[in-house]
Amino acid sequence: MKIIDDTTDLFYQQKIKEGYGQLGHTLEKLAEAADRISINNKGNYRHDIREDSLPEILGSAMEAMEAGDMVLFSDILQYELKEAFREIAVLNK
Amino acid sequence: MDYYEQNLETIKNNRPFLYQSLTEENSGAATNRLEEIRSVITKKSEKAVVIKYRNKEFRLNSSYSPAYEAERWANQYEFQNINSIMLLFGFGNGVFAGEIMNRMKANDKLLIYEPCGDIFYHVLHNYDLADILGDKRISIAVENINEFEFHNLLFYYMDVTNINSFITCMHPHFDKIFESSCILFWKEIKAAVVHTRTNINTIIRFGRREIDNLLFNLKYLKDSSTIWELKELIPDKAAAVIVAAGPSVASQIEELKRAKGRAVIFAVDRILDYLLDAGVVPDFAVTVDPMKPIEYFSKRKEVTIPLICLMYANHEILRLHTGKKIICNATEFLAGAYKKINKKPPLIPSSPSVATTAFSICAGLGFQKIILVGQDLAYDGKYSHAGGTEEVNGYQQDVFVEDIHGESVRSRTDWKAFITWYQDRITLSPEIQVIDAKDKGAKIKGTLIMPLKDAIDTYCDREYSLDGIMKQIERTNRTEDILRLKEYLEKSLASLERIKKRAREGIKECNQLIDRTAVCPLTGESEKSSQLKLGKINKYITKQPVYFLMDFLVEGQSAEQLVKIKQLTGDDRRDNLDTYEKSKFVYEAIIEASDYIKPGLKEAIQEFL
Repeated sequence: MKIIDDTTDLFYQQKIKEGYGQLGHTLEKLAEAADRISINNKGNYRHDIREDSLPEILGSAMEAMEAGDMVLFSDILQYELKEAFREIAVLNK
Repeated sequence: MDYYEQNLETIKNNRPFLYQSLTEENSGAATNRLEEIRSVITKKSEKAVVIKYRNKEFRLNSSYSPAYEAERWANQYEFQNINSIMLLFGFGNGVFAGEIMNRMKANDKLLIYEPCGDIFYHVLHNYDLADILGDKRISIAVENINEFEFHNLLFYYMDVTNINSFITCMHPHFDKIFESSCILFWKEIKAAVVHTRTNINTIIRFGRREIDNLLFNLKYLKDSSTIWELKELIPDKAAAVIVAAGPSVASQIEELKRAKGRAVIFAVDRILDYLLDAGVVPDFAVTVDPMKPIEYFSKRKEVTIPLICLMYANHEILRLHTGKKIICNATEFLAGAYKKINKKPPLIPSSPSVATTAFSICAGLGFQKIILVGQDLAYDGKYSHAGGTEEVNGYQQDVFVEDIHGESVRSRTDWKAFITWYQDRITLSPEIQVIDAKDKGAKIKGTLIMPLKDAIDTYCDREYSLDGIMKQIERTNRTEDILRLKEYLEKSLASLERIKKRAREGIKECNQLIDRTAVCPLTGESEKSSQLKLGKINKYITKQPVYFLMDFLVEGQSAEQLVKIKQLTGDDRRDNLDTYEKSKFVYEAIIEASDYIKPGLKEAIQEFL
């Protein structure tokens, strides 16, 4: 969560260059997190809706990034992705 | 009441000039026009502004939570310094400005520049802006509506204590969307920094000289008059002609001869000899510069034309002048003396040049028609001044400005500052018609460009005899007033020792605080008690009338420290130690200034009668 906050802060503050500098690392961590969720749920017959939406959320974030809208990108991370991770964490307890 | 009416009411009660500008006929955005603007509801039920500009759509706020975006955006700025100035490019829907407002302290200032009038009108209609519009710490300048307020307030608020610590903020995307306006915004800031730095350097350079001049010039008080006595005698509806030393004066001598007796002619500094040699006798000469070389005023052995001057103008010039002296600025120090004898003190502020000061003098005298002659403010080929003069000024650099024909012309950085001064002053004085009587040189916006011949025919249609007027002008000070003035000076002299004593107490207190803070942080009570003591010392010192005399000397000597005194690091102990060290420096400057003034003031009192 902190890594999302750190990166999105840079984009909210219009520090685009620094944000991109950190973005690679952030996306790597997010991808790792998504993979871990997927592995944890393998063999678990409980089908988690939020896990399915992760690719969709990340896809929207990538679209925003490609369009150069880094505020929207940050919003998606803050409001959609973080929420998805929280729900997954709750469901998997 | 809808949002627009509510917001307008708040503006009317708190920002009269903006209100007037908004409600004037033809008020509206002439630049940065939008094809479209709308507010949309975001995913978190807030409002965001979307605009279409030059066929591209821009969302000015987060489509989820503009408030959260503003909060994260504002976190990049530190608002810890004392009396900070924040400059914000872009008001938008006010959410970013509102976030800064929530973090401001009581004495901070926020100057906002909104480049797009369409956006401002839209948010006035669609958002509740009462808290921002009602906050007196915040000023809002909208391009093409009241943008000069940004310039004026920036120049007003920036000083030696905050020149290095003002904070510049950008509303997201505005710098890219309104690029040219953003460039102008940065140029204004740069101009303000240059202006403030120039003032600081001027104070440092001129501080002692101004005091020396004032003390030498005290002897002229008894036979002088003030501009307020002169004002009573200026003929009603007369025009003023201010003659400065630009190259264009050479071609206007015959018309100036024709103006004599039909307008009141003011000659500023070095043009005086040129006019006298050419057979033009001005009604008044004006001098303000504390260090102007005497030959730049006149090479004559004596000058008898009535002289309008500041009390701290070059004393050598005032000694050369043997005619009637008319004081236009007696300084805050002597203002107290004038009030003691129930006279209105003359306090026309000096401004960047003697010609601009002459303009202020004419405005103070009530002239509603002012004709500028020789205010070229540009080179004529290689010539800088009348009489074929090619002045080389090491302090100034060449710049290019627009001339009266719309072309580019070579000028100087100081002349460019004078152009800006005139333009601002003319904007603020709509009751004065200003005619720029030249056929070449820099354009001064707001003036009517007209040949001098036509200006005289149009505005100088009566005849006056100012010789008669000058015989009538009263000496400001009768004998009993002069005795009371002397008493005022004697009391000021006595207070210098008391000021020194208190300054030494201040140093002692600071040393104790430094010793204690170095060992461990002070407790709340202990710190409060020391600050109260220092506060009392400062209040005593600055309340003494003679402190006005010392002020710019102290400011000049401690400028370096004053620049840093309101900058904080966030480490309380470090900040406190720094403050006490710098305060010591200022107290030492006060003692040094007292010692400097004492002998000169003593001598001036002896020569007074």
